[in-house]
Amino acid sequence: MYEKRSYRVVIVGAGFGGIGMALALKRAGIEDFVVVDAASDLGGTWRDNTYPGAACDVPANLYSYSFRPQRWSRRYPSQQETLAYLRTVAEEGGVGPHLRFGARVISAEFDETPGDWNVTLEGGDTLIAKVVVSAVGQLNRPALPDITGRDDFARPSWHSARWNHDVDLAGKTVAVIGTGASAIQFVPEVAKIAAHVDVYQRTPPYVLPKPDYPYPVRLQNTFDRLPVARKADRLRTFLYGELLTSGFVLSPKLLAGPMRMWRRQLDAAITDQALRAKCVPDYVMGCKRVLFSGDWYPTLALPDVALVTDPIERIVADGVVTADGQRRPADIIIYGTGFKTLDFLAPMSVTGRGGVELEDSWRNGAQAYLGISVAGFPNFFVIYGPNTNLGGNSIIYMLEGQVNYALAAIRALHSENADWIDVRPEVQEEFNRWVKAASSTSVWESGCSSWYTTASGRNTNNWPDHTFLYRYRIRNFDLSKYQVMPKRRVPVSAA
Amino acid sequence: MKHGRDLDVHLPPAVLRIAVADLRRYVLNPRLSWDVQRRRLEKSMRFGPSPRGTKITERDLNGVTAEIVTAGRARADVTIVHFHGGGYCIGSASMARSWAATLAAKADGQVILPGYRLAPEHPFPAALDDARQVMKAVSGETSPASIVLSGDSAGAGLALALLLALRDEGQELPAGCVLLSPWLDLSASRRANTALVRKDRLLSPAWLEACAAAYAGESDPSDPAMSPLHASHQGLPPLLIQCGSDEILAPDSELLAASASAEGTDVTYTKWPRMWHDFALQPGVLAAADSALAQTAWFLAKVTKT
Repeated sequence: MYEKRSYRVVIVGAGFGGIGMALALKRAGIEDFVVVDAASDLGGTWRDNTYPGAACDVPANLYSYSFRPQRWSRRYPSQQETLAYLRTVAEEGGVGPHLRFGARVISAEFDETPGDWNVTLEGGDTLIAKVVVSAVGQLNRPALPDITGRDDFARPSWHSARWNHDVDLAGKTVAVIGTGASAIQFVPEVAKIAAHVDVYQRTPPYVLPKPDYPYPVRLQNTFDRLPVARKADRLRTFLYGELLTSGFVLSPKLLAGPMRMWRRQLDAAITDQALRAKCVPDYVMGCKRVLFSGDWYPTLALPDVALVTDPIERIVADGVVTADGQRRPADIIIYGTGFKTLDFLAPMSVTGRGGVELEDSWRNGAQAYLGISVAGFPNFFVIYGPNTNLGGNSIIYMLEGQVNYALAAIRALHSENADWIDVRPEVQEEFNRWVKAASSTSVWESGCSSWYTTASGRNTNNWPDHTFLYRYRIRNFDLSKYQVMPKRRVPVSAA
Repeated sequence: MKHGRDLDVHLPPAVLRIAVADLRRYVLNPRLSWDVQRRRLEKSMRFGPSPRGTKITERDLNGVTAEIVTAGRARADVTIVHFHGGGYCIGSASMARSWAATLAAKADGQVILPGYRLAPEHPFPAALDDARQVMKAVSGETSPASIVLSGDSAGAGLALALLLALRDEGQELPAGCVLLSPWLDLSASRRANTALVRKDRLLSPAWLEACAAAYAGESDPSDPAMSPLHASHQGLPPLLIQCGSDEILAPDSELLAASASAEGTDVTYTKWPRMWHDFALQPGVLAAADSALAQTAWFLAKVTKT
């Protein structure tokens, strides 16, 4: 017998977005909700990514909830410390009893007549919800490259977000495919243990310095005693992020400073001209994700690390063959190849009004009003939805704004005594015309291939403007942008 | 007659709210005679921006004089028949000119603004009879599939009453119906809802009662032909309902949305927070009215598949 339970709000995903939403509901006095997550613990991306060297690349004073400052041990704390922080905040907020783990959402279907969502879990249980908040993130489903013979490799291999901690890397020859945000963090760690590392690179990233250091106890004390000092540090980081964003959305000319920093870092670490040339991107800074690390270039310069830029032709049982015919043996392959970022809520199947599938209405690229509401999908709010990723600032700042917006919408639904609210299609269209126009002049559409854009080069992932302007836009929930379905009843006297 | 000037300067709602309060005091005031109200309303509604190139002509439709509003480009894929407001007692086609002209330009359509007969000189069913004559004339020229009925305030009540009459007679129905701040129940007393009475800067229960009494004449104001909220709303084409939150007539919109949807009619209903009665008639000066008009244009395209 399958279980059937109804809630006012079902939150899908227990990462920073979902936990943030849960905390907001608790604060608003709404207790009738559940947070479901397929995994066995909270944390989202901070639970999944346990590779050596995993850390945030935004200083933690900014990469944390504004309402819950933390005594961080260092400027860029490790994955464990960030995860522990989220766990503590969830515990303090009393979210625990609302969490349901091992609950993978298979489908969410909107039933128009009562105006309810039927959320089906793997195993058959159904949750009935007035409102669904999807907080599944953009970077949670590992993407493996389409390389011939990938399955022929007879030795251990894994994706960086599914790290195999049982395999000892000491003395091994490791092939790392990919040079994205994960790879630049774990390759320096792997290189310390392994005998040899081959790093297969398709496109070089821009790697900016990461001024990471442990906070001395005295500084930690100062932050605690003088909260304004921590706020000031937070603001400083935020403004630096906005400066980067200016370069991304206004003109790459504004990136002259970061370009100099990148060049200095590269030149200082790598003296070999050939290797240095391989590390120089041929695209505008920001078009692909800008990375932050102090040990990436020094690692590449190590004698037991090789940067391979010849395209991979195929993978064989014991190694990798590149297009030039060279065969490089490997004991282990680690894929640092990122995530499937373009189909957002997949593989969850979402069906809205009139039986329309979200997947179909997003066929030409995902879009939503303010990245949160999708026309035809009433009482459904997306946290970290289309066009709300950032290239230069803290995503927590975006999530907090979205959580507040969704909460205001949930309250409006109640105060209007409505069955459902659904964003007006022409409002969503107009918003996305603006997104398109703004994106067309941004670095993300300057002609590189990245996880921010669709195959046709359309930016579906990044917010194409300054970060504070997003928060300004979503500061109020405007009911007039939605159509409302009042609680249905037959007419007064015709009944 | 050529008409129109471009103006796209949105005024803060607070400024317009003052003008709205003046309208209530000097025009929609039950202590004034109908003639004084009509004259003053006519004067105050003369302005209001229209897109450049708007053309307004007058026509006789089966004995009812109507203004035909088109955008400069002569395409008229959609015909919108819009009944003006004014409590069935005052008002004229000119009230909705700005809205009609902006919509004609945006939706590639022509808007027909019938000058139906007014109470108390011509009580119920004079207005409804005129509306049916207009509809007869228009549907003789264009297919009902490209006609959308529309109305604001009392005119919206009239449009819905006309739609119900067409349905009851089994005639081919227009493609849809747009209702702006509709007045759908003439028999309801509005005094009890003190919160809304306080918020409404334009309409007073006393004025509505005077209008209802004048229009109803000897008939029962709860007759569904006068108060279409009391009818069944089955078998209707798609409805678009727009209203402001700060009007004593807001419950009419919500009740219609609730009942028509319960009876299977496709309803799009949007409420603008902090907006007053008939705010949608002020495009070009009021951002909310522009947003409402964009929705109307979307609705027209949807129901006529243009």
